[in-house]
Amino acid sequence: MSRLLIASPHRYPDLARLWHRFATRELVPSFAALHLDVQVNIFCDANAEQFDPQHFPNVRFTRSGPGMRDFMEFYDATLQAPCDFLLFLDADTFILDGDWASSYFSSFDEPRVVAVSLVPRDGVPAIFALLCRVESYRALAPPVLACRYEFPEIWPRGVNLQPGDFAARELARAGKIIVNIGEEESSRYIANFRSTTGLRSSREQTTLAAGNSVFWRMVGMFPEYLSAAYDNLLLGCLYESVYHQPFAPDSAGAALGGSLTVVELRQALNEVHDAGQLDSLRRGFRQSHDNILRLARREGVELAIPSVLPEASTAL
Amino acid sequence: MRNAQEPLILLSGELHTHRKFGPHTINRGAALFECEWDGGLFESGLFVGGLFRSGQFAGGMFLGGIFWGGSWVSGTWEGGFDRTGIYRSRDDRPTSL
Repeated sequence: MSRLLIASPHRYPDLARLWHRFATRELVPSFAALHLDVQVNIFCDANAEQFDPQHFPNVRFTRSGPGMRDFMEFYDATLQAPCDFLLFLDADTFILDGDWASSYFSSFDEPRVVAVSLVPRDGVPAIFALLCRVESYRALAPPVLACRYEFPEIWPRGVNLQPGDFAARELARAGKIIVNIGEEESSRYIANFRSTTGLRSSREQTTLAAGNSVFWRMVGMFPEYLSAAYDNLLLGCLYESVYHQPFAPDSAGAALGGSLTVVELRQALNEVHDAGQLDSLRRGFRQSHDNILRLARREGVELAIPSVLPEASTAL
Repeated sequence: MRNAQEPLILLSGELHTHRKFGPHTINRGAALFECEWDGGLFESGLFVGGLFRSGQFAGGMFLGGIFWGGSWVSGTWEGGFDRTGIYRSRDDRPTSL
């Protein structure tokens, strides 16, 4: 029997609980139905002591340490785990239809197929939800999956390869195939949130190293922070509805204080005056809003989602 | 008029993006995004996504930039690239590159 390992790096146990809930309910049975031995692995990139094993039945935990010091090393280290296939699944990526995902397992009947990318980045394969044939990746020279900066001597005009990009290029050169699911199909079956962990860790790290005022200025500089904050707000609504506990709390326990609280997000959005930027944010918010409602329907819960945009007429 | 050799001291609460800092710069708490550091003393603060060309990193946090040259004395290496562009994970600080 072939072995499939579903693996995901996590920094925060609350998001991991949501991820685990969907992964074990939607994915594991579908792949097991293909007569695969399916295991789930959560890598605790930080805060390992906060991950209560009772909240994560049937999970193999790994912790950061030698050979697996952070999520980048986790990718390569996990390639050496006892498995034949790996599904790397991002912490804030939720596959809503396991039968759809597992239907692509037959792609491996073609020997040249080494992976199926279930969520693309800018139209090309990415590591967000990557189902791979392990032996093909093990055959590459390490580091296999970590990000790289090519041509650093011409910084900042070098090429910043994202995790998995280098491997994809090497495999393509060797005549291998990564099946790339397009954005439209992917979004029908997967609810994807973005940079939600990155925002939380950025608040931690920036506040620690440069102070909270600098973090606030960054929020004003980078629109992606606002998108991630809204995604955390939505995930928080779902989390509180399911577990009745605050999501992304700060050290005092305030909900979303480790991201942006509702008040902070409203305040930050009030400072956005560019109509184009607001439109772009609104589109992203709407997509995320739809995604969280899809997750809520799976849970059979109603969400009370606060509005955050200045215009009273919008539902967001 | 400021003396050309007078150090430029960056302080906590400051945020700089896409700037180059030369050998007479001392960072005491500022955050630098996509900046080039060339010869100064980085005592504390945050260095994100830029190029550390030369100088001394004596404290603060390095996150996602390229450590091209210079000396690493102390601080927190959260991750970044060496001069060949290979990613070095958390705690794999330049002393061991």
